[in-house]
Amino acid sequence: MSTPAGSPRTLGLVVLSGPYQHQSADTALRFVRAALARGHRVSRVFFYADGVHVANRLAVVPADDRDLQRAWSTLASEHGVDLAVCVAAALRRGVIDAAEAARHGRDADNLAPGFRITGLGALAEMVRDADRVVVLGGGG
Amino acid sequence: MSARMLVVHRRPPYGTSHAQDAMEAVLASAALGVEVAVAFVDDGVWQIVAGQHPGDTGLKDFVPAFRLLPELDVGPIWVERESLQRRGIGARQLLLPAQVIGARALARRLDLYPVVIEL
Repeated sequence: MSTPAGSPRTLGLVVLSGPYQHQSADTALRFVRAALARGHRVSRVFFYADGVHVANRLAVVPADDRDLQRAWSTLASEHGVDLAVCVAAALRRGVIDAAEAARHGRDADNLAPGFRITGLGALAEMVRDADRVVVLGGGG
Repeated sequence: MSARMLVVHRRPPYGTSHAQDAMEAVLASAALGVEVAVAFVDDGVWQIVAGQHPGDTGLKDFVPAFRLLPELDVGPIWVERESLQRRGIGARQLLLPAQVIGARALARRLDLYPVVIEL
C-alpha cells in the first residue's frame, strides 16, 4: 500500500454473525468508533448472513444489557456511516423494510433507522473502494 | 483501491448456511466485476466432493453453482492438499477443476488479497 502508516484510510466492515450469541456486532461497533475517532473514514458496514439481525428494530434488550440495534442506529445518525443490509440474507430472516414488505405482501416491517436494505453489490462496491476491509464473525 | 477478494470456504456443506452464504457472495461479487478467488480448506473441502445431492435433504442444491465458477471467471480455485489428505479425499473426486495447493503456499497467496472473507 502506498499510503503511509497512520494516515487516514477508508475502511469497510463486514459483520457475519448474529448479535448477542456472537460478539462480532459488538466488536465491529467498537472498531468503527475507534477508527472514526482516529480520523479514518468508514465507507460502509455490510451486514450479511446472521449479521442482518442487528437491524431488527423490534429487538427488546434487558435494561442492564447493551442495545446493539440502537447503538448502531445512533452511530449512523451521528456519523453518517452507511449501514448496508444484504437483501437476500435479510428477507429470509424476516428483517424487512417498508418497501420490501409492500412488495412481498407482508403486514409489517422492522428495519431499524439508519440501516438500508441493499444487494450484495454493495459488498462488491465496498471491496473495490475501501483501502481495507475488516471481516468479523462467520465460521461459528 | 482494490477489486480483488478471496473467499475461503472452511465449513462443511451441511449443518450451517456458511457454504451457501459464501457461494452467494462469490457469485454476486464476480458478476459485479470483482476479481474473486476461492479456497477450500478444512471441512470446506467437503463442499466440492462430487456425488452430492443437497436437494435430497430439502436444502437448496448448491452443486450447480460450484460448476459455474470457472465460467464466471472466478479463480484461482484452490483446495488445500493437507485438508484433502486428512479426510482421505482424492483430487479426482472433486466436482470442479480446483488447483491442489499446500498449506504453506496457500498462506502466501492469502497475502496477495486485500480482502479475505472466511465463511
